[in-house]
Amino acid sequence: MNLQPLYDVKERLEYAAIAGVSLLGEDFRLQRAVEGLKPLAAASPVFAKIDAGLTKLLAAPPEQRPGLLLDVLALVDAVAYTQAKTEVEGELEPLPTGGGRYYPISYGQIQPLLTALTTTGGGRMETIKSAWENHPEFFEDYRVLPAVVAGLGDSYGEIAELNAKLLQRLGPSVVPTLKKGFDPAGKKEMARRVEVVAVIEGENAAPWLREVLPQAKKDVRAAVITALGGDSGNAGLLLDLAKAERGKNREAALAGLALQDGEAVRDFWEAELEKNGDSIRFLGDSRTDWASDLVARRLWDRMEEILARKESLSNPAVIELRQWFSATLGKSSPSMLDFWRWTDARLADIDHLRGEKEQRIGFGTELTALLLESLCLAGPGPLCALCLELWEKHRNQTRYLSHAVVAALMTRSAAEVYDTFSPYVLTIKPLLGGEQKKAFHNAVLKGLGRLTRDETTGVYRVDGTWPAAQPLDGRWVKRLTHAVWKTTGQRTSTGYGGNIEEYDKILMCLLDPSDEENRRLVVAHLREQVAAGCCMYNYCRDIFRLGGDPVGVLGPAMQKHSNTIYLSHVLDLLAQAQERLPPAQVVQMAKELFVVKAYQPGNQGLVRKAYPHIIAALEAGKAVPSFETVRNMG
Amino acid sequence: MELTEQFILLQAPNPAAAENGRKLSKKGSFSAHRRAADDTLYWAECAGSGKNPYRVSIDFTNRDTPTCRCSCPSRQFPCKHALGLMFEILGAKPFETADIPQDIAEKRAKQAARTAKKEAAADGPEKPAAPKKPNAAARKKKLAKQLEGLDMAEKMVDDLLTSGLGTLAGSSAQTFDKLAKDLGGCYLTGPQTAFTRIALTVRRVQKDPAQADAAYAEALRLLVALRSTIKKGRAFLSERLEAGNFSAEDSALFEALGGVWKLEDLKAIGSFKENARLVQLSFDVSFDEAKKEYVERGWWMDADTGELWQTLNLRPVKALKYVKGDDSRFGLLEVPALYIYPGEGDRRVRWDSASARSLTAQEQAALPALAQPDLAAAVKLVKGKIKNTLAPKFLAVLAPIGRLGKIGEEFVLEDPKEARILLRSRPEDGADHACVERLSMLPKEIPAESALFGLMFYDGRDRALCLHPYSVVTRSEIIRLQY
Repeated sequence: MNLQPLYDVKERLEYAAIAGVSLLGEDFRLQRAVEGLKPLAAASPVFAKIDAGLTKLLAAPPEQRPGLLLDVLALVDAVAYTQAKTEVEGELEPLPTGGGRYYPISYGQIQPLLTALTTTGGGRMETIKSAWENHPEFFEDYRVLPAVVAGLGDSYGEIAELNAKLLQRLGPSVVPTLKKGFDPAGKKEMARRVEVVAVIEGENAAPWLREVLPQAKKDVRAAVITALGGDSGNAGLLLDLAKAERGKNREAALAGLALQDGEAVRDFWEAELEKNGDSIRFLGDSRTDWASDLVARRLWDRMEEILARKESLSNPAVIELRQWFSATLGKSSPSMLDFWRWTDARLADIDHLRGEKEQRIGFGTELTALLLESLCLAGPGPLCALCLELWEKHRNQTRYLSHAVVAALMTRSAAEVYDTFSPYVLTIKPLLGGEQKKAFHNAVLKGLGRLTRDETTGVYRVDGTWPAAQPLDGRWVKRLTHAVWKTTGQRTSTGYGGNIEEYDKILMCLLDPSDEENRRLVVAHLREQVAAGCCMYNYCRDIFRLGGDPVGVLGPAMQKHSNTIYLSHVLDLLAQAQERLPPAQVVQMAKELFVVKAYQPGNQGLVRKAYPHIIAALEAGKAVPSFETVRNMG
Repeated sequence: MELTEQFILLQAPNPAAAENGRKLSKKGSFSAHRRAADDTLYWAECAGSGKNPYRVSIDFTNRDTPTCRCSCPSRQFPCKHALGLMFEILGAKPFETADIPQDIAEKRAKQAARTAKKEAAADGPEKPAAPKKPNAAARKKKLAKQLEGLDMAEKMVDDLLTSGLGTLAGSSAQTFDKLAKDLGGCYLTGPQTAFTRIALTVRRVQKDPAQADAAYAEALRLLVALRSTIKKGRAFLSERLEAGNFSAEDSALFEALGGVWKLEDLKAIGSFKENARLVQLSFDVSFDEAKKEYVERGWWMDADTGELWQTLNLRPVKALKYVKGDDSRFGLLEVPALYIYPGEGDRRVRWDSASARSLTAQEQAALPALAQPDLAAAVKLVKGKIKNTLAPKFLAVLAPIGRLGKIGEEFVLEDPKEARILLRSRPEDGADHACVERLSMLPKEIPAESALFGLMFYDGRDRALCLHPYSVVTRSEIIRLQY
């Protein structure tokens, strides 16, 4: 049955309702639609009923028309509903499955997260972080995952970066969602998708990256090229890209090429650096021998040329030279070693190089410091031998002493290191040449300061990376605690607004707490530091960690302070003490800390009023009250 | 009852309270953890901003509705400290066994006495409940006022259609709003809301002319329903007035005119079911602009009969703080007395007590079989219901899945008999509820013998009957497309 006349009537009735029924009689289209319905009315009672209603409507006085119109419309609607079509023709394509999983997450849990991921405004970061902290699995849910992926394009950059990190942590299960709907011509969101896929899949991402590269544009293209650089098999493609691309994309290709190897790559860099010395910045991360040779040779030539010219250096030249210096970091090919030997031989000339305004640049000192950094980056290897060689050559100077300490730590036995370098740490005050001897002492400490003991594994590592050849000789700690100069002149600021001596920090990093005797020596030293008026919060924390206590030294320490101590810090300290010390010692500590004049002026009244209650509470075996509680006592 | 995170969230007056409780637990604010030997009581101290810690306890004597007690001055109930203590229990923090403190023991005893008294009253010889004396004069007056209001509503409809829906703007809209408010004074909140909805819908056209067709169609649907309510309502009220019958009746008109059902009224008209077992299929939240309230809607299936019900938790913006929010429920809910609102189609249900438990594998496996036998049966059912002018233009159905797929850009459900229906998100529900696209993101293929739950509705754009999918019910799980 052709129902078009019914729909025509419905449309005209709706039009009349919008335009006003007062014009109903003049609507010739409605009249025509009513005429069109007549054949249907003759065929079916329900249409006949509609037809009768329409006739009544058209004949009705104006005041009755609204009601009659709605009555007819109700009937027309009812018929339209019953005649609604359901058939759908065509080939049914099966639905794909997406990434992620399904978790039964309640509205109260999922809705705030989805809102944070898909809307704008403040507080979203906190919601996302808190959801991750409590339920990382929610982020894999198939309703949440697409929102996290879309959130890579969040207008608030930090949220976009956070989403990228979370996706990386979720791992391979999110890759299908990242690739689904990927637009190579898209914006930042798509570029971040590339970065995340590259991190998760590593070298396995190469086929997909190669597939999307031809269509990739702008940010996405740069991201794809950068990601291709991570795979050693892409050298040929990157060489082509370095020739064809411009701007950011070319820089991405250069960064990738710096990590590749092969003759073609070497030739490319020779030519590139010839034309554009600024490109040296891309070779900084390369550890290949050819890159090392290339940097060494070209830098050497440049330095020779500069020294030969005997002219002052312009600021741009200084900046570019520093880029070249940075490119030497961690490189240790034979040419590089020769470059350092040549530098050592010409150090005096290098040190005399002057800048635009005839000021001394200090390249000699810079290069010496750079060699130490390079050594720590490269680890055990040829640079160790070189540093020891240079130190042997200049044993009467401090220039390479720190380098030699680090090199020896990585390559020689613990006893040999101690025997060789400990004499520089004096335990008896020298009668002559004190300043010079102190400089040697500081240089040795600077070397030792690069070593830290991993508390979980017990392994000593240089810069937290390279393991020492042997665990540190325990005699070092004993010697350091008896040293004449228990300072390097450097301090590090820490929490609570206090400082800690770099010397003490080194001591703590070198100590093996299982060595009972050394531990006692260090605790005694730290107690002395507290008594001397050093930042008691920091030192006491270390004392607690080493199983000691500051009882007996806090009193004299408090007498040295005036208007400086915060009551909230003291309460924190007592709370920490309560976790480690017997109650009687905590009470004793609390009593020693009751020196009103030592506290901040704003806290003194409160200390006077509340402190006796605190002591009483501790004596009764109760927990240290929080600062808020104490404030309420005031 | 099993203590789960979702159970804790359901106890919370709002999500923020639960989150604050979780934070208290995380930052270690609780101390002196104790529990009764029989595990019915947990208590602890929680550090607050005051000098003394708060004493907080959870009494699990009734495991489905634990009693929370706290010495804090918060007006929220349960407070964040009680919720925090629940997180402490959930986190398996060590609770030492101890004797129940005297004060709590006394409170428990009082509560037990109250419960026993109630139970004794319920179990005792059935006293004929003293019939409530209806204030006949007041009721009569109210009915007369309602009839007066219906006349006014009819006049408003006539005036609106005489001048045309398109004229509802500016000062005429203001007058319309004012008249609509007057209907509230005639105890006709149903028609009042309908007028407000019409005004809002027409205003949508003025804001976005591109939506004109859909908005006017919606406004007309509302007017048709309103006309029907006025006509049927007048007959209903007149009949009651003449008969002197002033009690609530089993008629959808009562609610359409603005009546509010109480559980005892529903019980009085026999509209309830005993020992129902319900499974929630979907949950969503929307904002009703006309009534300025949040509507938290749950879709439930009777695990024994396959009947579909809806729960509506209405939270007016003005009283948001005082009305506890609802949330998604998982598992099976055993309801001793399920009260059912009169009406046809998706009938609203309520209960005053229920206990939750996980679905057994057998119970879960039986759910898809409760679907309609095929799409043809579902379509017939829906067409029969939505043609009623007072009924909503959609109906919840559970339809068997043969295949799910796409034809062009349209999602399609094909039943095992190869009948098909378009799957679309219902435009009136807005972007918040659009979830049809999620069918193509499901983590795995839908197994055989599954069913699709959703709302079947008439889409005037192409005069097709469509299904707005909300969840996939398989023999092993319910995969929600929304919440």
